[in-house]
Amino acid sequence: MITAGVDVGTRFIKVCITDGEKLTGAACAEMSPRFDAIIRSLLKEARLQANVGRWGIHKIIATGFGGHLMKKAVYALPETTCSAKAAFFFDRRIRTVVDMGGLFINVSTVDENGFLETTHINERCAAGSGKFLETVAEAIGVPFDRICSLALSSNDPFPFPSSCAVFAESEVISQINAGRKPGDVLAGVVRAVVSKAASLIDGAGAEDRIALVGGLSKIPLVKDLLPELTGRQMGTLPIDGQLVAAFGAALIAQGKTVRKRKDERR
Amino acid sequence: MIAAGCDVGSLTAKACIMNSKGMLASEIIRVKSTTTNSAAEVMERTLAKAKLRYSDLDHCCSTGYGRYEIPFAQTNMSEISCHGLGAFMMEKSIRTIIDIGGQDCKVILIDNAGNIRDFIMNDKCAAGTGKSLEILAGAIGVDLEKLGALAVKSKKPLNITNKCSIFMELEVLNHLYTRKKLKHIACGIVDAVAKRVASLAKSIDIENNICITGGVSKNPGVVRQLAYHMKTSFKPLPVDPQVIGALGAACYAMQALKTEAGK
Repeated sequence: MITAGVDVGTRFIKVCITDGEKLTGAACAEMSPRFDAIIRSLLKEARLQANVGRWGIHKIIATGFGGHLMKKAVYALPETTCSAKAAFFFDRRIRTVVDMGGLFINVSTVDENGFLETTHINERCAAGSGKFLETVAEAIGVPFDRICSLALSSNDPFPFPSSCAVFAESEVISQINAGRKPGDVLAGVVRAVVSKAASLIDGAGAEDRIALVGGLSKIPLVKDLLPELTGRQMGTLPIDGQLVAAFGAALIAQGKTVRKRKDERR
Repeated sequence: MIAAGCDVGSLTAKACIMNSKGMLASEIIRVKSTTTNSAAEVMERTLAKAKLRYSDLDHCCSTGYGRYEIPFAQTNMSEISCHGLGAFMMEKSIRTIIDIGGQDCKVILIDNAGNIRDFIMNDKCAAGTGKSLEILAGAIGVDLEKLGALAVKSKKPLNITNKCSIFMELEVLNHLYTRKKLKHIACGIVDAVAKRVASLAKSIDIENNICITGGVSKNPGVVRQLAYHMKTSFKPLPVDPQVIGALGAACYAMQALKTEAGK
């Protein structure tokens, strides 16, 4: 059976198509108020990759913060359920899934059967989230894919106060004006972001192994720092970390679901 | 005797010139790349407005976030003292000042002589500051200047429950995606910011009369919702509420000149 998962995140929309065994098609684009059209074109792109005809997708499950906005989906699930499902699917030794996305850091623990046990989230404040890193990188004028190489070039990371994500911008500007190297500031910010995730992981009482998913997992430095700061083992997943939640949704769609009758759908 | 006050904040720089009778001129500009540049430019413009030169200034007092870096200031005072004195000079019955600036928010209590009695401030988090309004206005694509006018058109603010400005932005976008009316969203935004300020004010014993200063006080939406949440009304000030800090600094400069003359 061909199924699809759509992850409507805070910053990006991700679409995955699966045949139940592996990822056959995937697409990703930035979120905007015209998300309906974006989802449609992403589904088309993923379908072409997977070689699936127009009516070939049996079921779609949506996830993410905007999952409920998608009308074509059977239903919307929380992203923790989806990423836990996908991470466990790839590696059965995984007990903790850390999702570092645009605004939220989700830490979910799973038991040995792959069932979700607990979830922890940074609900109060966006300090130390992906947005925090993005604001800083934007203020310095560094594109996302160069963050890592620039941060790695630093020998002396600046201990960045991981306070408000909104104030990060002015803090960075004053540090750069004071003559600090952009690389040092970025390295400090990456460290602040990872330590925020590490404190959430500690609070969750997470067990080995940890799977890191979400957009920030694309930065190799984050992947290197997390085991260093938490002292825990990391597992690697064979797909792009950003797509994990969407893939999990597609996998869940493989299972039996009772489709709601039309008159009940409201 | 000509005294000047210069207030360089996080988003705008303000300057004010006064003689012994009262205020001569004031000016507000957006901050430049460095504190020194902003201070120099805003002071030049104010001097031009008052038709004076640098050499005419007898004393200058600086305040605000960049107060230690202003080359032409002889003294500096904290912005809390300046807002307190500035508001008191304009209206003697004021006992509480709520200052909502670009990057912080303060509630200042003064006694019947204009001295600071107590204060509380939030400078750790952007919630309840001008920056937060700016981000949220940007999220719905409305100019910051027009946000207040749009918000007062609505009487039904949409609920925004988060405390962090960035999560608020998400909630605002969610309202936008579910096709809510823009004026109700705008009202929700000013309401959310006002709620944060009101909760800050609740943690200190405020006394009447109350006035609002700082850039955000020019937003009628925030003022209306803040009055609603605090169940009170605000005393209007006879000058632009954004220059109160600079005015207070100028008053301190004037006091310094008077004590010098008295010696």
